[in-house]
Amino acid sequence: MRNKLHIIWIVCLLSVQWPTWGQTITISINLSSTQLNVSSSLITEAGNDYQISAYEDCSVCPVLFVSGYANKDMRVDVRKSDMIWSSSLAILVRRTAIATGITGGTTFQTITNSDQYFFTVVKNTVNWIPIAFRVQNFSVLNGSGNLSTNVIFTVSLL
Amino acid sequence: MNRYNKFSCAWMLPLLIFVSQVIHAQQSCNTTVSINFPQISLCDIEPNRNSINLSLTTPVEAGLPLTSSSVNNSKWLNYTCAVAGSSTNAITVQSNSNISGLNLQVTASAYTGIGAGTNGISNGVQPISTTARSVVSGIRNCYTGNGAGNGHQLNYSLGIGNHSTLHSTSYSITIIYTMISQ
Repeated sequence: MRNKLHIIWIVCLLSVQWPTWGQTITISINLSSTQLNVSSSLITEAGNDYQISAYEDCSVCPVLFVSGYANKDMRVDVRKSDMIWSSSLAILVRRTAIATGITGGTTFQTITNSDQYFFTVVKNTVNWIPIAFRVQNFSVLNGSGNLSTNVIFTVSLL
Repeated sequence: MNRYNKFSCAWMLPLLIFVSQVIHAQQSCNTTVSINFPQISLCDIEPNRNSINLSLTTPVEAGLPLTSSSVNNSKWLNYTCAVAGSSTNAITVQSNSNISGLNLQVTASAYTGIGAGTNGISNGVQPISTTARSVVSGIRNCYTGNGAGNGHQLNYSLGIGNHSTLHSTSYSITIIYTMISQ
């Protein structure tokens, strides 16, 4: 009797898992690096700091590719791991395209050093997700040169 | 197979399935975001670049020399600077021509204003000639604030250099300030 119950239990589990066997969830990005060039023309008068507090350049915007299961929603989180960075500087990210089957992420949000919710893909309906980065709170006090941080996107099943 | 082993095997399979599902249930990718900040070297004279006039005083007694008490401190030096690493910039002053017999000098006052960062330090009195001389040095990542009252006040003075080469005429020269890498 006990063995039968175990077998029934295994069959139930297998039937739940069956539709997703042979599949995985994946996330990738088309650009291994993204460059934002702050222009010196943003200072129009000697004596002033940069006259804007935020800068974004989407001439070459990265695109995320997310795929998974047709019957499960996927959540994408974002965090950063600083390489050469200034604590006064903020980097933000958002989705740039409006699409059904995906929720959240359309307004710029600050990327921190720990995972934060970015957006949800509903049942594998959207795979191609263009994004844009914005840098904020910069100043000539940062000096000149390159600052860089590694931005990590993580997809997980809901 | 005893009852204990049967029980273990029965639970092992669903556990493995669950673990494999968890392993497949998360994946990451990344991109390196780089922000490039340009070098900035901007300087300006405020409140405007209109000319200033300095003159000599005619002596009231025969035998006395020409004198000069003429000064002007109406101009301010503003600048914005962003440098790489520990580099510093300086601002030099020079004129497009020399004035025979006269000593034209400028002194940049200490920095004051609404700016921020590592502003420069005055190098004191500097003669103005066709040779560039540093009036402010040690400028790093900073901005002075814009307009009169921000930056370094410029104090111009005129003195007699050599009476024998003076002429009774007016001279007009252009004074050029340049921010350079030190």
